[in-house]
Amino acid sequence: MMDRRTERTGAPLLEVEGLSASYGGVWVLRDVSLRMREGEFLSVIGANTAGKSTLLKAISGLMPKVEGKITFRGTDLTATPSHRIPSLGIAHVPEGRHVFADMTVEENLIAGAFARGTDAAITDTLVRVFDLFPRLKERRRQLAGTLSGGEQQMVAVGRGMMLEPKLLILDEPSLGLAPMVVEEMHDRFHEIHDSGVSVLLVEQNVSLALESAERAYVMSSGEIEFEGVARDLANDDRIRKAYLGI
Amino acid sequence: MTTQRSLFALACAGVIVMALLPLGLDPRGYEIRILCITLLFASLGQAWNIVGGLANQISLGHAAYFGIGAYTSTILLKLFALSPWLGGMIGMALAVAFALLLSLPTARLKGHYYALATLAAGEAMRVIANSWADVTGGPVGISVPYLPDGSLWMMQFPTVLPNYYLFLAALVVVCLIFWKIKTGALGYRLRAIKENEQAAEVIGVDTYRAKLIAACVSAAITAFLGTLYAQFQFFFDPDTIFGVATISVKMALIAILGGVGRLSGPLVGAAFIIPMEEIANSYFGSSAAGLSQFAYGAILVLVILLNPHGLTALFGQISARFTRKGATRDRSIA
Amino acid sequence: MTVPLLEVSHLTRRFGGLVAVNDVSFRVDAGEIVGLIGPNGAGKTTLFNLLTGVYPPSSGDIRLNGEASGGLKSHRIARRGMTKTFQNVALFMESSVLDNVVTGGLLHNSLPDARDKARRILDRVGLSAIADVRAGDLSFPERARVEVARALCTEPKLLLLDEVMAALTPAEMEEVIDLVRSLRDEGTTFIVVEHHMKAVMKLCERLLVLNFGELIADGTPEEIGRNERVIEAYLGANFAKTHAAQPVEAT
Repeated sequence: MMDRRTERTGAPLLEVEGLSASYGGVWVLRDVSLRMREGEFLSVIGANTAGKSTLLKAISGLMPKVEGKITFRGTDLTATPSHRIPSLGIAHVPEGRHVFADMTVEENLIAGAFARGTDAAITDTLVRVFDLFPRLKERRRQLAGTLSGGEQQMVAVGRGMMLEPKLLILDEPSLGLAPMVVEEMHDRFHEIHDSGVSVLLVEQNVSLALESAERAYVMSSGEIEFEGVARDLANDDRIRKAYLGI
Repeated sequence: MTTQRSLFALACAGVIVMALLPLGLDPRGYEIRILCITLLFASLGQAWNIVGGLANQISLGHAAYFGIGAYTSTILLKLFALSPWLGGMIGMALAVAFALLLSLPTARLKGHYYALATLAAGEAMRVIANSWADVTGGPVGISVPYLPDGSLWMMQFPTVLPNYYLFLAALVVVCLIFWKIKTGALGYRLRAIKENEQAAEVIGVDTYRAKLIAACVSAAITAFLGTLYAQFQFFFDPDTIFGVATISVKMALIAILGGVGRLSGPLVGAAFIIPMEEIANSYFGSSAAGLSQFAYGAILVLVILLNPHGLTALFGQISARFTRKGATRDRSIA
Repeated sequence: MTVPLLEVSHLTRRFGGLVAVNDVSFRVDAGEIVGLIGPNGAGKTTLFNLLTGVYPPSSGDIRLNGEASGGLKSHRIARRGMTKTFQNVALFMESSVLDNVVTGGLLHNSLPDARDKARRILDRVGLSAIADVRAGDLSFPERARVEVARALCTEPKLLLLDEVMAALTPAEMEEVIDLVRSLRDEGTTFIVVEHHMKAVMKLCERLLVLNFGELIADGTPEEIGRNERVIEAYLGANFAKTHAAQPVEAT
C-alpha cells in the first residue's frame, strides 16, 4: 500500500521499561517491560483485567500517573504530552471504534490527518487509505454513525492510517464483530504490516492474535507473564494457565 | 470538658436565657409576640428537619399537618368544648394517618417529584378547608372561642406570656426528639438511606419503614404545633394555615438556611428569618408594595450564595478561622 | 440429605429483550467457598443482584435454607442471612468507618450492641486503626475491606463478595484469602466473584462458570481449568479445540 518500505532493520522501535501505572492510587500495571523492533507485528494478549488496554494508554500518554520509561525511536514518551505523540508517528486506534457519528466517512478520515502537513499531502494519503479499504471509498459520503460495526472499525483504523504512522496500535479491534468481518480485518492488518508499518495488536481473540503476530507477550493482572514466538505460543499450555489461573 | 458536654451546657444556658427573656417585656406587647412566632417556627423547622435533614426527603407540604392540627383542636373545642390538649392529640393522630396515606404513593418518588407530590398534598388540604365551609368555616376562617376564664387546661391565657413558655417548652421537646432520633438507631438508618439507599437495603435497613417513621413523627409534631398556634393567634384561615409560602416553604427554608440536618440549624434559621421578615415589613412595608418581600428574598439569596450549607456552617467556618481549630477527623456520631 | 444453604433452580432474569441470566441452577452447601467466574458481561453481578433481591427473578426459584426468597425485598433477605458487597464499593462516604459497620449491625442488634459488635469486627479484619476515619477518605483497598466488615456485621450465613480483590497487591490478596478462609471456619459461607484468576483458583474449592448468562460449568478448579466450554469462553473456540484435549501437565 504505502510506497516507502522501511527495511526491517531490527532497530529498536518501542521500549517499555519498568512501567507501572495507577488510577487513583490503584496500581493496574506493575513493572511492565516490553520491546518492539522496527517492522514487527507484536501481539499482547491476556484476560480482561490483565492491563492490556492500560498499557496502550500509557504508551499514548493517556494515563494520569505513570512510573518507568517508554522510549519510541529514542524519544522519551513519558516526558511527551499526549497530544504530541501522534506527530511522532504513533497511531493509536482505541477500543470501541469511536467514530464521529455525525461526520461522513471522508470527514472522519480527514480529521485523523490533523497532525499532518499540506492539503495535497492529506489528499494523497486519503487515496491510499481508500485503496486499503475500498468499502470505505464506496461509502465516503455516508454518515459514520450509520455504518455497520465492521465498517466503523475500518474507519477507526483508516483514521489512524491517515497519520502515515510508523507504529499502528490496535486496541481490541475485533470486539463485538462477526467472525467473518474479523478475518477480513486481520487481512487488512497484514497488508498494513507488509507495507512497512509496525503493528502492536491487543486482542481478546487469542488464536487470531497469535496467527497474525510474529511475537506475543502474555499479560496477567498488570504484569507480563511471559513472551515468545507467536507460532510456538499457540501450542503452549502456559497461555491457558495465564487466562484461567490453573 | 468534651465538646458534647460543653454543647449541652451551652444549650441549657440558652434555655435559661430564653426563659428569662420575656420577663422584661410587655406581656401584651409586640416584641413578645415576635418571639413566640420565632420559637414556633424554630420548632416547625426542627420538625421539618427530621424528614428534610435526616431522611433527605424535601417535603413542601408540611402545612397539611400544621393545618390538620389547628383545625382539629379548634373544631373540637368549638363543638364539644374539648380541651385543646386532647384535641391536639387527636390532631396528631389524624396527621399521622395522613402521613401514612401519603407515604403509599410517594414511597418510590425521589427529589423533585417527591417535593411536588407533597406540595400537591398540602394544596389539596387547603382547597378542602376552603370548600368544606360547614366544618371549617371556609375561606372566612375560623375563630377560637374566647373563654373569659382562661386556664392551662383549656390553653387560653389573659396574656401571651404563658403561650411563650408553651412555645419554648415545645421547642425544647422537639429538639430533644430530633436529637434522640439523630443519635439513635433510626438516625443511623436514615443516614444510610441518604447516602446510598440501595446499599442500605442490601445490608438490612428497611428503608420504607425508616422513612415512614420519620415522616409520622414529623407530622405529629407539626400538628401539635398547629394547635399551639391556634391557641395563640385565636384566628386563622385556610390560606394562612395551609399556605405554601406562609408555612410549608418557610419551615423548609428555615431549616435549610440555618443548616439542614443539624440540631442548631432551624434555631439559627428562625432567629434570622422571622425577625428579618418583620424588619423588612416594617421598614419597607410602607415605602412600596412588595419591596419588603423583595428585600427579604434578596437577603435570603445572598445568604445561600455565601454558604449553601447554611448559616451554622458559615459560623463554623468563621469561628474555625478565629480559634484555628481544624475540623476533627472524628466523625463517629455526626 | 442435608438441605443446602442456597438452592437456585432455573433462575432467569430478562431486561426487555436481553436475557441476562438464563436458566441457571446450582446449590451451595454451608461451609463452602464457591467461586463465580466468567468473562465480562456474563451475568455475575446480575446473579448476585437476583440473590440479594435488588431485583426479582423473571422466573425460577431461589431458596435460602429451604425458604423461598425470590421476589423478597433486599432487607428481608439480609435479615434471613444473605447479603453482598458492591463491586464499586457502596460505602456511606460521609460517615466514619465505624458508623458504616455499625449500620450493618443494627439489623440484629440494638445500637449499643451493634457498636460493640462493630468494634470487634473491625478488630477481626484489622481495621481498628482507622475506625474513626471518614469513609470517603480511605484508599480503595481499605474501602473494600470496610464493605466486607459492614456485611459481616449483619451476621450473614451466606456472604456474596463482589470483586473485593480488585487492584490489590499480591501480598494484600494473600491476606484477603486467609481472612475469607478463617471467616469460613467460623461459620460463614461464601460465594466469590473475582476476575483475578490465580486468587480464585487458590481460594475457592468449587467454581461456577457463567457465560452469556448461562451456567457452562460447575466443578473443582482443576476440572474447570480443562473444561472445553470454559476455555472457549475465555480464549476463543480455536484455542479450546487444541488445548482442552491436552493431557494434564505435571507441574
